[in-house]
Amino acid sequence: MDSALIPEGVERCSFKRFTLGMIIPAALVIWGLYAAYLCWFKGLNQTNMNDSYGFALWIWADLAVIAVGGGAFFTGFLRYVVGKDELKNIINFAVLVGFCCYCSAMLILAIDIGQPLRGWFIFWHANVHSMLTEVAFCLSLYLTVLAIEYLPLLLENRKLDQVPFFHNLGHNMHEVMAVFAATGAFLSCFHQGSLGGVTGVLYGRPFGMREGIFIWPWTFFLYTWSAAACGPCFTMLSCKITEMITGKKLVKDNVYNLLAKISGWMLGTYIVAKIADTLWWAIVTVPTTGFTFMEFYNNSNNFHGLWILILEIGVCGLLPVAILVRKKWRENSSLFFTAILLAVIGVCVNRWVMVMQPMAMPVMTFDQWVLYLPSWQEWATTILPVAGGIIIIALSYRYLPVFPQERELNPVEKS
Amino acid sequence: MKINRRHFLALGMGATAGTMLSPLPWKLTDDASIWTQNWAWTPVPEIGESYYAGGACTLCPGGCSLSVRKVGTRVVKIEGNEESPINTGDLCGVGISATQLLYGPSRIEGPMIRAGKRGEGKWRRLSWEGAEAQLAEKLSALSGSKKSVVALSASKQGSVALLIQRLLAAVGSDRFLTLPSVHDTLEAAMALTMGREPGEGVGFDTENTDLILSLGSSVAEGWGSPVRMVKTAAAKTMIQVEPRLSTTASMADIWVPAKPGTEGVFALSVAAAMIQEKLYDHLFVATATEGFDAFSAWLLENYTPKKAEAVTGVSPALVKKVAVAFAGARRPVAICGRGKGDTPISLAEALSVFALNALKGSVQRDGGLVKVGAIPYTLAMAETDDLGAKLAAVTEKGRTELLMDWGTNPFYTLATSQEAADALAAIPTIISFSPYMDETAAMADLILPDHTHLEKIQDVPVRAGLERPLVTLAQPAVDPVMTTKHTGEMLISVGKELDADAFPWDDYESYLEESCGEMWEALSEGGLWQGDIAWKRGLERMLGTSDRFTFVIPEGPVFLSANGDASRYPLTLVPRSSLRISSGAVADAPFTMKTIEDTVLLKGVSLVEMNPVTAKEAGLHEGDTATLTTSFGMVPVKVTLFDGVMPGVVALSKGLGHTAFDEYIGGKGSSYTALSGAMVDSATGFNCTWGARASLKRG
Amino acid sequence: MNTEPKETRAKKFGMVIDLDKCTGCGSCMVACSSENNVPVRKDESDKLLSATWIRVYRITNGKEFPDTEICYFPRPCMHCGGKNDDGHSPCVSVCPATATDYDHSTGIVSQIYTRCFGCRYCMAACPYHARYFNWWDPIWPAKIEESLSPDVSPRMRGVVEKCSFCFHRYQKAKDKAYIEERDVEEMEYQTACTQACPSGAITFGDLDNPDHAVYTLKQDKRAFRLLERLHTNPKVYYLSARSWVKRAGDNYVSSEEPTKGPGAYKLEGHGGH
Repeated sequence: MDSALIPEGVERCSFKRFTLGMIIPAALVIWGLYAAYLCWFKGLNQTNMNDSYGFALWIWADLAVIAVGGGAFFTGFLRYVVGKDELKNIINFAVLVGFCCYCSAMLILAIDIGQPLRGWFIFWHANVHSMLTEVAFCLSLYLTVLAIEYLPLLLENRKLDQVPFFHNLGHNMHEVMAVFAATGAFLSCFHQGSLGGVTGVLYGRPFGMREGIFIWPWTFFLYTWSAAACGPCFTMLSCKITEMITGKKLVKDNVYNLLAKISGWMLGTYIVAKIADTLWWAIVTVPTTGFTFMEFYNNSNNFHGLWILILEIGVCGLLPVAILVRKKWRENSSLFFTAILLAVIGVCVNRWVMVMQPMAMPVMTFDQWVLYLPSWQEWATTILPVAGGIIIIALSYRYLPVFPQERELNPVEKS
Repeated sequence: MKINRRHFLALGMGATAGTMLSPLPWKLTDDASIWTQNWAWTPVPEIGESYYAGGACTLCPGGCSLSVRKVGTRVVKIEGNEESPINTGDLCGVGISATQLLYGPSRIEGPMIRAGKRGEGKWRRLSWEGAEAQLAEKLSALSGSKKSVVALSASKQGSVALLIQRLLAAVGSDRFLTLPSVHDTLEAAMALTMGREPGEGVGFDTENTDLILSLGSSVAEGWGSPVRMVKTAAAKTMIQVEPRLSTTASMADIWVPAKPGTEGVFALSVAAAMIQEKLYDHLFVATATEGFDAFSAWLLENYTPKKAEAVTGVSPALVKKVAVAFAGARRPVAICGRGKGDTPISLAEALSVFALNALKGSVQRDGGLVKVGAIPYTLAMAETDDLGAKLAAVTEKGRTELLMDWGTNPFYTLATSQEAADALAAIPTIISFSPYMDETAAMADLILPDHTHLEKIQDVPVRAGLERPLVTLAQPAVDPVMTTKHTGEMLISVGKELDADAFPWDDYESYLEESCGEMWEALSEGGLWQGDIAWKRGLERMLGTSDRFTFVIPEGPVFLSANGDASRYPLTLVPRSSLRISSGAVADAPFTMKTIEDTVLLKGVSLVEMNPVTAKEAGLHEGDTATLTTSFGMVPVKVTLFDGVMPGVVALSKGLGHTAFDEYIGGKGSSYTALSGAMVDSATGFNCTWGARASLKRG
Repeated sequence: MNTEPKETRAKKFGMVIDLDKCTGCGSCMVACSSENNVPVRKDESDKLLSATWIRVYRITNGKEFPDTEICYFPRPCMHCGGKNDDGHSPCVSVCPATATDYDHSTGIVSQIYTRCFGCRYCMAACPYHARYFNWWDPIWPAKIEESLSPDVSPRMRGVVEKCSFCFHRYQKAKDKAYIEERDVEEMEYQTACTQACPSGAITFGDLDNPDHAVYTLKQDKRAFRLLERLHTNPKVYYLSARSWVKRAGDNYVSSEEPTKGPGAYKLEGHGGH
């Protein structure tokens, strides 16, 4: 029944099957919206956050989706600014995934703040010293850029393309896309960095604080770098999952290969920097605050101990680097999949540690290590954008020519 | 032109674009935020003229004077009165938070009669005339012995207390009772050692002392007049004797962790050491005392530091150290009354403390244990004789037909066991004058609610171990918030019905003025009357023309041992005092609930403190849920570990576990009192419980 | 030397709390709550959700019976001056909407409830847990609303609140002094907690004014500040003669001796604001 909307030359499952497939994500969205409604109308007492855990699951989710959404800016940067032409075959999808990620971040932020109707005060009464102000400005601008980057793809929909105005608009926008990509890359460097700065500037919280250069703590650069490294991994991971679900090959291996190689080197350099940062912090910064490095990990309430650091740097850092950098290994499809999955987990773990641990960690000597378990409302609202993202990607895939190589890789036999 | 779907689409898009370009969205965004800044359900306090009214706090015996800050007709804050010699502008949290009691959900709206089953919470409102008629009728229609009527009064003296006593006399009862405290024992001890006229009290001149030897008294946590004693604790040298490291113990210069309940024995061992080491005041003992030789012989035979060690667990070396410090101070004083002093001690223990002070000459002098003159009320009250036995009878089944309560809340304060609680509940008629829905009011048949201390004028005689007699004046800072009536007014009105001659006054205020007599001028002008110090100074004292002190060898046991089978109840439960918890008749207001630590109360459950060693033996850990059992009751608790508790001892905060009141202050934790049982002192008949044998089982 | 006349010179209000005098009676907490209309809830026993602008902690020396000691640690907002005392307090520097600000004329860290949009970044920044979030709409049961003071506006849900050093009292005192054409006197502006403290453990005043008691007290050899080493520059000083209490004021690597007084830790390194 929706065949008129489906791009030419490709095959899509039946509308019925598609609708059935959307039931679970749609149900999750409804569940999440109900939880969001509770948070908006009853207040944040619906969460399990408390006066020690003012930043919690949602802030982690924000940081994580923005990190993994970094695939859009970095792929765009490689494609348009550096000129890696093969990447044109995945850039649409990267933008789409990035768009979903950034929408998610905005949505979660809107639920997370205690007074959502005053959220715009961040622009109106902006405090230039605050990392969050920087985040807010760059984030909203970049979301606009992503929307602009996504628009031409939207206009390529068969029906919309029939409107001459849309057709021309889409065409002209393609021409200037490099400008937007460059703007996006610039904005992203800043807000990714500012998000890193969010905990880095907390000089009252020794676990989060970092030294740095000028106004920027080292985490500023680490966040940008790790987003550039792991964002494309998430794009590829999403792409692989899409291939699994559709049962089609959608992007050629050389594209994956190129992006994986770049990600591998990015991740490799990032991990080296991260290790250096951790060492400097542990040996130089932390002792000036009167803490020892191990105090952050061996508290009895800190049940994961040092393993979380090993997980982040070793298992989800060095291991994927090794796979992605070595040609033979990254060309092995299961190793490749493992590597990008680990890289994505690694960046999420990093964001988790940087948000959760500074909150839990007591600073006053007579303070307690605080444990926190999110409430169902927090989980639901965190899953909400993920489910929403799945729906957007599914719809986009179904009705838009997201993958330029799809027709070539999956020729449709004319009946 | 044919209008099709595309036109509609275009129109819609155009309208959207147009709206976005107009100021409308911006205006709406702005309005939305302004709305959040002015939510109708976030109160905006009314402004008005700001001024202070005077007053007096009655929430504990401390006698603090108040400066009540008002805005318009509302009371917004209670502060300490700077003119008060007791609290000099400061105030404790319980006193400050009374604004929330005044306006809180525990207030009783007006006179009520029980409509449902007892304790069910179903009431029928009455008019004041109707309620007073009900009270008069109930009193005159007593079937049994006239002595079966009991009245509990928040204060032992004063205008309202007298009216209550007269009302009882009108129906032929002499059971005018007050909640017992250490002062009841101290006064009995004073009668034996120094002589005592009716109305005289015992004081401790802590202002002028240079060392306080506290035998279990929570100097920093509510003993005596709390605000004044906190200042004392912060300023004076202190020796603290008690089994648990309280705040007082931690602030003290020496902490003597004697076994629970053995403070009196420890006092005697210090006295013995002073005699052994010849550290006592020979001149004073020779010139101003009697009975020293017999007393000292008795002491050295029974209570040498070595012998006492078996009871107290305190090494002779530490006893000697304390003796040397006490004897070496210029004006030391030994004080007693465990915790806040709201439980009597045995007469023998009181006599021991008197003797210890006398050995150092610290009686009837600056900085010592002193006699406090009677308050010169023009209308004298008879002191209740045999108070201990009469109090005990209240919690014995079948001894009472009608109980009236004015501010003592016996269902909380006297319910020291399940049995006692049952006996109280079996009293056929219960009448409460409480302004709050306390445990007793909740079980009452008839409630005639009084004003709170912020709504009424009333004399407040202070019985808190001060060195001189003192009366403060509660003053109406605010018009009554509820349809309440001054209990004094009500008693005059009801009293007239029963015996017009005994209640000749037109109204309470004229009666109050008459009753206060010579004190009225000072009270009405400054809200406070204080008498002279009663002891002689200087030469007069040295020449022995002052009252003589008699050393009395106690007859009863100095140390009352805890009941219960040691194998079934291996631990000893003791109370924990805190100024953050009002352990009297009225529960903490919400603001004060805020201050209670999470090692005392957590998510509605009381925590019991125990030494890590004891916990390990019992297989218990921090935060474990457990059941605390004594022979008198059992309660659910959580475990918290504290090195400052003596091994084998568990400590539970006193003053929690109110079952009545409202959701903000009731239903929080468990009541220590309900587990504490009885330890009756044979000499006075008072329940002198200092703790109980207990067991603590996980789960 | 500051040669500006006393009347116009910037003040630096601060507090000195004598921990050897504090009995942990909690009077300051109640006085503060009553003065500042701090909301109440049915259950206040979960301290992670219970707002107390000044909170009194109880600490122990960790020794076994009978060598145990305890000490109470009242903790209001520290009104940090931030690194180099330039007003970039940990919280002020991170607030994205300038809803909390450093007043250079008083040294007081303000909180504008109607501007705060509840991001809680300031709470994450504060190592003292001095900031509280309004998780619920404030509800005063029965007629307790009657007891609210008009001097301090009750907060709506979804915003952060904290100790203001009873700034409204300063405003009142200043208004009065202005009419009488003089400066605010030391005793005219005292916080509610200082006023209520029975043991006289809290002293409040202008840290820069040699005539004020706090000026001398902060230089006492018993003086120290909480988390001195983080360079937050608190304006609340503590006094204790007990070395274990002083040590509890900061974190020390095991071998270090906590001998340094307020302001002794040199600020090094860059990064952050």
